[in-house]
Amino acid sequence: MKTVEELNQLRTKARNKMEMRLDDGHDYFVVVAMGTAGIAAGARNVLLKLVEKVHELKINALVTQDGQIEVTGQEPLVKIVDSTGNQVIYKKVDVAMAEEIIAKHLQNNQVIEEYLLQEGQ
Amino acid sequence: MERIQVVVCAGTGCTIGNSGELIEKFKEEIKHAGLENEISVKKTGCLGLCGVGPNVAVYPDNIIYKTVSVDDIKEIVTEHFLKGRPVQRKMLNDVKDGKVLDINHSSFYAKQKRIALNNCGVIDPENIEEYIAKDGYQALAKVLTSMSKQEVIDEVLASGLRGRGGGGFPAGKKWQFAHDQQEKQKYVICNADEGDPGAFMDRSILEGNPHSVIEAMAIAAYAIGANYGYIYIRAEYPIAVQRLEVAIDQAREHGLLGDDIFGSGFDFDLEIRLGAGAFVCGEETALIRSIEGHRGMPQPKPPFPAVSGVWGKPTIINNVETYANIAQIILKGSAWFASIGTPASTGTKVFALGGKIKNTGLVEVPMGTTLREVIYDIGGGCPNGKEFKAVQTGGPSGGCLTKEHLDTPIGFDELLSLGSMMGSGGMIVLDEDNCMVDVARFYLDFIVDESCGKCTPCRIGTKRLYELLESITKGEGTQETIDELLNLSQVIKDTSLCGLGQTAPNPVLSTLRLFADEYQAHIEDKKCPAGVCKELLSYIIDPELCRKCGLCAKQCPVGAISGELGKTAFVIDQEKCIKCGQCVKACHFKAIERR
Ligand SMILES: Cc1cc2nc3c(=O)[nH]c(=O)nc-3n(C[C@H](O)[C@H](O)[C@H](O)COP(=O)(O)O)c2cc1C
Repeated sequence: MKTVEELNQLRTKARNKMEMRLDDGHDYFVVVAMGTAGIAAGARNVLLKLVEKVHELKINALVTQDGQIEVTGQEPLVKIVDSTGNQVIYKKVDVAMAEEIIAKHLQNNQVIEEYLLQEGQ
Repeated sequence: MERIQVVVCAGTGCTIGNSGELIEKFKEEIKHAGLENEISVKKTGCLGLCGVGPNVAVYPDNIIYKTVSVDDIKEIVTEHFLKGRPVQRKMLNDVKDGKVLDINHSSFYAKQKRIALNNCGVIDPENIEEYIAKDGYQALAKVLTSMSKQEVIDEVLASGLRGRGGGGFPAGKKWQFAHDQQEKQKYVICNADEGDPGAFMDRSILEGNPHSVIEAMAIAAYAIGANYGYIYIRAEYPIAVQRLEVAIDQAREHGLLGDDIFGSGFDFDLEIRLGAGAFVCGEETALIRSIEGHRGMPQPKPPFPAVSGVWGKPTIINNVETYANIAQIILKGSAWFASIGTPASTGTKVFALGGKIKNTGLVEVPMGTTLREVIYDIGGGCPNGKEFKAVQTGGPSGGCLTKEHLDTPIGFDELLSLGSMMGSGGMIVLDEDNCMVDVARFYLDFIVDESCGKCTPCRIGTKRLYELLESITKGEGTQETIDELLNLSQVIKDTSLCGLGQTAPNPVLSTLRLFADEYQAHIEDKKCPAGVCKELLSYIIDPELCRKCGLCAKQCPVGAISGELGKTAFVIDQEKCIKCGQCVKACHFKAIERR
């Protein structure tokens, strides 16, 4: 390379491959409850869809997994925490709902009330 | 699409702990679980907790696993990676109310700040792109495209950065001297000899983030007007050497070493010179002789290397850790760096914690952190409930600090004023079972081996010092021995040619000052209070407690114990006894006492 632009281009490209190891802050943390019940209900496909979309749409969010978020019969559960610590949990999420959550909640900061796990459910 | 990245420590310690095989096993199990498109495994540098290696870090969860063995991997893959349930029994992270806490809140990491070790344990050291992703070579780009030589030097001066190789000389000043020389040909050298017993900071930086040193050397070369560099590293560091070779090749391929870097007209390249592992070759003038192909022996100063160094040309020589701070000073600014630490000792310091300490490993703390915080909060204190006695800093050139000094903030001048020194960052913790006369003897033994023999005070004087100490440990010392130790120490300090001899008496003087009573016990009572000096020990069987079982006699390797089974108490023949202590271990009734 001979220019700073080339260095910056390589940096951008390289950052894409190691986003999860950079120390930048995130707008959202997306946590998918895996565990046996979650996986049986299809949580793996939901997780993979979320990872794929966040990456594809370059959303500043970190997708991780957890064993169990809540005890319910409503898996797959997806918890979304914003940078101020506010959190909501979506219940019975499938792949299509995952895409909708991305589009509405993560891209437009719009909580989808009807999918929420209600208190005490 | 990737959702987890696993990085396995491939530093020297964890490599010995078999981390290479872990990487293969992780890949195998991940494939077996059908997760190979979702999870990648890479090697990385030191994560710090060498005592519980191999360490494995998992992102994005930021979980570190300790003492990972091949047998743990299946469980980690299926439980954690597949089902999202981290394997708690192997985790370094603290757990509170069932929640896994961020690793940076764990007691080991909470008080640390990683500048020189930044990226160690995060990036793959053999992949230049990972360094570039973390702003690697941005500082070099900034310097070459927007800063004058003097601006670079002024920035380093303003940062207050002092040499991390031991002396604490301001890096910017050294650069200024070399810059001001009117020679056309100049050189930069990185001192990676690291000969202090127990020190492994520099090795870990080179193993974990070699590009940070290469980039800084290029910046230094630009600042002083050099275009060639040498990294002098001991051949005993094969992993660091290999990572450096890979890094240099990659930097050349990317045009970050070579001619006309960033189209600025600045040329720079460097090569590795392997040392044979002599302590004296860490001394800058001896190191320069060694690079030139001569026997590594020190030269009188002046002239200083900044005036006449390698091949007689102006040369700056800096330590690995000193260089590892440079790129961040350029990128984040001298004010940022100077705001960390204390006014006279800015920034952070990496320490290799060893000896009688729970958390053996590599730590980096802001200057001004107290010894207590490092030894107790981060290091976890002495293991097995033993009492802390002293901490040795500065290696063979340094000295000891005791309980009273624990609240001293760490800084170059603070440690010097207490009769020790920062040194390169070895910190060896001693507990009640260490004999301080023996500790001084250990360092002198090392010095006698490592003295190059060029000047008489060091060659012969340190040998005599060693013999005096040895006579004390054998119970042959008198008050005169102490006087002679003090006298000779002063002469060696005053008349030796280089820093090796000039500082060699420090461990003696420091222990004499702080532990005079222990020396007296050896001399007057012919006793070693810590029970280390064998000649001053005796093992005695208490006839009241002896059950006449003869187990001790069976274990004695020299047949020094006799008695009649079941009839008479057993007795140790003091003439024959070699004080190995096997009998004490063999006795079930605590009938044998060490005095
Ligand atoms: C006996 C002896 C051994 C030394 N060993 C080292 C060493 O292993 N590494 C090092 O960086 N400096 C060592 N030094 C200090 C160097 O001479 C020199 O001061 C240092 O490399 C300068 O770099 P700095 O200003 O960045 O600390 C040693 C000095 C002496 C007297």
